Amino acid sequence: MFNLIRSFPYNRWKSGWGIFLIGVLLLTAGLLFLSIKASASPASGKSILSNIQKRSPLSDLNAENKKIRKAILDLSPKGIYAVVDTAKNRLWLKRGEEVVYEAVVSTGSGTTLTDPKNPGRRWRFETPRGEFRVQSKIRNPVWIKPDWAFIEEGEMLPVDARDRVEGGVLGDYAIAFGNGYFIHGTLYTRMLGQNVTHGCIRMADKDLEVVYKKLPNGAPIYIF
Amino acid sequence: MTVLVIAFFLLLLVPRAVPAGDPGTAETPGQKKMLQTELELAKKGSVYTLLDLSSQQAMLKIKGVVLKQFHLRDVSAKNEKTLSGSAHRLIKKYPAPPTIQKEIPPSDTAKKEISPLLASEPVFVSVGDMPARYQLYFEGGLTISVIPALEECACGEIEKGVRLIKERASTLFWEAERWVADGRLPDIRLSLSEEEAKALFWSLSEGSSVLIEPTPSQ
Repeated sequence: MFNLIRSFPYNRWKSGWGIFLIGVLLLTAGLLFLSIKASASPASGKSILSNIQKRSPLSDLNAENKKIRKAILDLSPKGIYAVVDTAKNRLWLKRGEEVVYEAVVSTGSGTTLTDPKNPGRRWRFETPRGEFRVQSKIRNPVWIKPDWAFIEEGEMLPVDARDRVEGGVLGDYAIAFGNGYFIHGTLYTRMLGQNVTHGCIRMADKDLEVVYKKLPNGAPIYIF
Repeated sequence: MTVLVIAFFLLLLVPRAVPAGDPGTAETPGQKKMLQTELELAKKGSVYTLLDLSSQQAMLKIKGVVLKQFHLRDVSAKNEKTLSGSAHRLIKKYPAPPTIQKEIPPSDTAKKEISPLLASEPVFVSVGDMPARYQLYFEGGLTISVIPALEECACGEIEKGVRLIKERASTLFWEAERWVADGRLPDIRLSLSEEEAKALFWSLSEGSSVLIEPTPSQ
């Protein structure tokens, strides 16, 4: 390389330097022209390079769609949540897309009960669907039997409220998720996997303990 | 040589239009409208359905979380392009789901001592009781017909032929029905496995919303 430079005659160097200087001047003029043009445009605060880059409508659409997708994603729960499939009678504890625990449950039977003494009074035993939250968690729950529990057995409604209390039928734990519905234990373990309840979600003792310990107060429960 | 050097410096001055970002996959204004509608549905906190005709999938979702996916074996649609980007409320499922009225045993003054472990078999409505062939009627005149896919069966050739004829007849009947009905109204026909058709019927509640992504324009 040094020999190549030395082989150039002095006159040629003079003309070469001249050309180099002319090139630098042209480059400077061009950049000056572009900066003047940029300052005259609405986006005058941007750098020259960003004004050289032209934004396409497609990239704007991409950015907007990405923003909306993020907004949808932000609605999803951040911690552990429960999903209940009333068709398959399954409950999953999930964190994001990951299944943390799976259990067989029993959900509402879908049957209808009419009070024979008051035909206008009817109950439909379905597990409600939608989004719910864990409202409270109870140890050693007792069942306060509602009117339908007596009517469906053909029994008279008790006068004394104490006659409605029945212990030992809801298992060791109960998780309330609103409107009188609970996730609780059951004596009818052979019925798990079937739609047999009056609307509550029944679980085996072992599974109920796991769900009780892992699902915090306020956690979402999605039922479909 | 001089010309080459000058040309080199002139090339440096040519402004280049550089794309602001990688365009990536082709996004459309239709997709933006779909996403905006889904965001509105997701905010409500109730279960909604995303029916993607192009990928032949139906997804039950809530708050953007996928609860369940159904694979659509076959999709036929008419005037579905008018549905894109809007949520459609399910008004009616036909036939109506079965109901069972509980029978109340005769009242007895003596307290009954029955072990819960020996209780008689309960009556209940399950997903197995749901129809596999049904229509879904939506606000705005949209109708979705669901039929069970023709499954492979371990049966004789005659029975296979009968099943095939039934399936073809059902398709022709649907086409004829749509021809007689208002041809401007959107109409979709879905084919799923019998099990999934029943599960879809079970999972869709009257009053819930469905968002439809039609097949891409030809």
